[in-house]
Amino acid sequence: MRKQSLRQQRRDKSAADVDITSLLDVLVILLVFLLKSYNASDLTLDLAADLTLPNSNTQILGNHAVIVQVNKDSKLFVNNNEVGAVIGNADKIPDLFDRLTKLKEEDDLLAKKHDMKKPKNINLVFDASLPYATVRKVMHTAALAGYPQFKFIVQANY
Amino acid sequence: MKIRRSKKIERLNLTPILDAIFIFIFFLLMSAQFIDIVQIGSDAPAIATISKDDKKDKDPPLNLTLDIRKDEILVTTGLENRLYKKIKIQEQDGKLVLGELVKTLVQIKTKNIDEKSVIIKPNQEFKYNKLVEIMDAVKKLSKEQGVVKGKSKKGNNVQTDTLFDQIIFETVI
Repeated sequence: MRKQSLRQQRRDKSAADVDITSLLDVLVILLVFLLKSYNASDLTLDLAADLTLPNSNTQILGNHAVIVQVNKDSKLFVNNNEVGAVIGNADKIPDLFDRLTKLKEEDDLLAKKHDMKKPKNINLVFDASLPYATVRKVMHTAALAGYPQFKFIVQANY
Repeated sequence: MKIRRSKKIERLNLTPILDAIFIFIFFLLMSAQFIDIVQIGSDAPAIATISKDDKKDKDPPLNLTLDIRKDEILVTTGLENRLYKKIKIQEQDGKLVLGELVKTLVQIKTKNIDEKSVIIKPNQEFKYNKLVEIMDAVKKLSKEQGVVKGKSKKGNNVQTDTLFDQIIFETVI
């Protein structure tokens, strides 16, 4: 009689374990997903509307810097804020130049404060269908504003 | 006399937590960046004043330039832009056929293994996605294309899969 009750107790104890199989299944899926989408780049990009990135074979990850985007309608965005459009034949885009000059002043002050090099990089995001004339105007304006090192942000092929 | 009653063992109900995790997965899926973002570097042309006292290189600069026109690419070298090769632009399945250009660049790189810069001068109407294809081809050889072997200025044998990775746009400033 005593033996039986011990057995019963042991059976009860094993049944009390929490079944976490399903939870682990979910966590494994989550882990795989997170690992797959992880990259070491500190660049976060919110693509503007109507903008398709061209494909490239390059494997160099982007870095944090001022982001200028131009969508297929030639609308300009600096750090996700619309600043006008690329219109006309002039090489310099006044709205873009003013915004970038202001950002450059702020960046330089920040760099000086932290004893760092003045930033010269600029991330350029262009729609794949844009002509080189538009790309050139943006590059020209960025260089005049103090950002002569262009980083063309593209979509990886791999 | 004590009466032993078999206790009903209650299982922990994981349903709400699993529901929450499921929603969490959806949230991650919605907020995740599914495209891998990479960069192609390029500099604006640097302008420097050279004084008479500065030492001059014995060899003239390569000054490799790709003049990208509507239907052809002119590969020129030297300060006086001597025409090295004229390559017709062809497309296949919406992509440029760049085998001939790569072959030409490999020839030039073999003779100038230390050289890293290329000047690109595209036509104003040339599409950006096609330009990216050309920049890709100019920068690095793919695994299938192999490597370039040559002799450096110091006399060492060099083997590399990098062609001309310093791209300068001539018409920027």
